Amino acid sequence: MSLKLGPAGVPLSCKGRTIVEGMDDITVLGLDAMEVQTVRTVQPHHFDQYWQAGILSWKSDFEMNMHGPYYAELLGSRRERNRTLSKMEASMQAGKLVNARHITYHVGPYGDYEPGKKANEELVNIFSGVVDRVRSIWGDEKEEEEYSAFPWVHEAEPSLVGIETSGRQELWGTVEEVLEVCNHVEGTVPVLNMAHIHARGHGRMRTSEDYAELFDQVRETYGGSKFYCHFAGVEHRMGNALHYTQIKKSDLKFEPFAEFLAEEGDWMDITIISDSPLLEHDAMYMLQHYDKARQRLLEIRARDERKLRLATHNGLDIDDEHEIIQTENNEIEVTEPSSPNKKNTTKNKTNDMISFDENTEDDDDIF
Amino acid sequence: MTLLPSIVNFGHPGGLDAGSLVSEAAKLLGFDLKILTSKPSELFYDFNYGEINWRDNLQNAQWLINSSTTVLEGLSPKYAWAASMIFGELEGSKTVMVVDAPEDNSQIPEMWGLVIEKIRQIHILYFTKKALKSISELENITENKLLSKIRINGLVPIVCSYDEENQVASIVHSMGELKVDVNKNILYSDWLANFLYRLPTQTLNDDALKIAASGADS
Repeated sequence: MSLKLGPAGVPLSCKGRTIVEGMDDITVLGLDAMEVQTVRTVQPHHFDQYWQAGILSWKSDFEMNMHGPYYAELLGSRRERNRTLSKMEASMQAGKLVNARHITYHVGPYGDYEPGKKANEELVNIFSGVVDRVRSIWGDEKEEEEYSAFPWVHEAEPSLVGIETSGRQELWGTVEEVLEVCNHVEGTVPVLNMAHIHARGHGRMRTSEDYAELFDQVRETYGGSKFYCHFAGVEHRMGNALHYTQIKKSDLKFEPFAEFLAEEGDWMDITIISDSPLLEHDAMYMLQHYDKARQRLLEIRARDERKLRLATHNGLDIDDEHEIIQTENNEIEVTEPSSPNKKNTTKNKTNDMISFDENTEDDDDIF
Repeated sequence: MTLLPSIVNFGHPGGLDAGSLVSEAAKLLGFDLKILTSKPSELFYDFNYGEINWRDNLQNAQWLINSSTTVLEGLSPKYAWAASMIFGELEGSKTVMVVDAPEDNSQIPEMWGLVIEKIRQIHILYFTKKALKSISELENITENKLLSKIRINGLVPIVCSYDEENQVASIVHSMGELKVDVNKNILYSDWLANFLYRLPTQTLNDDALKIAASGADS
């Protein structure tokens, strides 16, 4: 399994504020990805930084990604759409410079469209054009000499165009909508913003089984094993995200996701970007929980293997010993207080595996 | 109200930035105000911001008030400004960002870009009238639409502005948006201070916001 974690932007604790300084700090923290925010128009004076970041990412195993414009109205009037596309163009250019593996875009409100086929068809057309544009920006043979110092422009695959799920009912971007459009446009990838999916689904991401279902849905509809996700705490009401919060303050917990990744994520190649208000702090929090989940899983497996070995050594039937281990695990399940939202009781065992120092009594206010 | 909330303000030592004006107005209402800035012996643009103990200062503070123009004052104020919001988030203070227009209009894109980078750490985003006009021009959308766009895209709990001339407050919040006739000839700093003073912390709905925005009983 390949898991890359990093913040959405230059780390908060970074003394310098350039992207390269941010990359250095991220590496020191043990993280290995970053999403550059071009939420507003890309300024020309940023371009030097972008080249440097591109070189650093090309020469290391550091994954660079990019986020498109802050305002998007791809389903708006012609004027609104063109305005959005011109901002997207700048991020595509910047994406080439930083060697971005993904460039993430929002779609924006439904505008005059009803949710459904017509809106999705319109977006298929738009994103086909975006993918073509990204490909034409990358690897233009005429520019080969000009870009000889920046080999990824010709040697690396162009950025994948990420289409992000939205966290509000009035914005295009349910999981199904995103998957449908991605499924029709080669070169796009769904960006699973867990906070948005959780909020829009009235708090649906609660257990590791919920994550298993989500990734099954993506795998079945879209295929592939590469995933790009955003994760942050979120406050939500009536199916709408209200405000991003640090993970500890949200009802969207990372532990079930970590548990799912540790147990069932072997086949995945996944990048998780922390876009919480505590960017890199929460990215590290995620990494720690993932490590803990893996560690616990390894311990359980080692314990079971040791028991089997002992049983074989003592001349016991291995099938009987399997049964004993299963019974023990079932006993753990019975003694565990189970959450009402847990869909699969076999998950209870693993929920018990991770001990987290959560302060669930955090009486956060309206903000 | 038995306990008055406290405010921490980080700003220019001269106290003339928009956030400092709001903080001073809040102090007159009875808020406990703590001002963080450079020492008298230092120049603000390169003061030693490492000496500020954010954790101590922000502990138990309900509001942290910052001005957008502070980021244009130099590297030290810029870093301190960013650090204040991180510690605010960690300590549980809510950040109020007062977006004002700088004297030099060409600095607006830089200033606004830096505010946007911090959008997730901002709980109340207030625009002065001049800033609202400049930024909506920059973003090429109408002033009214700007407030709701920022609210939806940035998930800022409250985005607001006050028109001193027409005495109307515009507020976009998590559950909707409203315009409130204030019917009083007051400065924006007084309006925002009053708004913070009356803003409920537990129930955020149109009625409660209307009362807070209208400055009733003040």
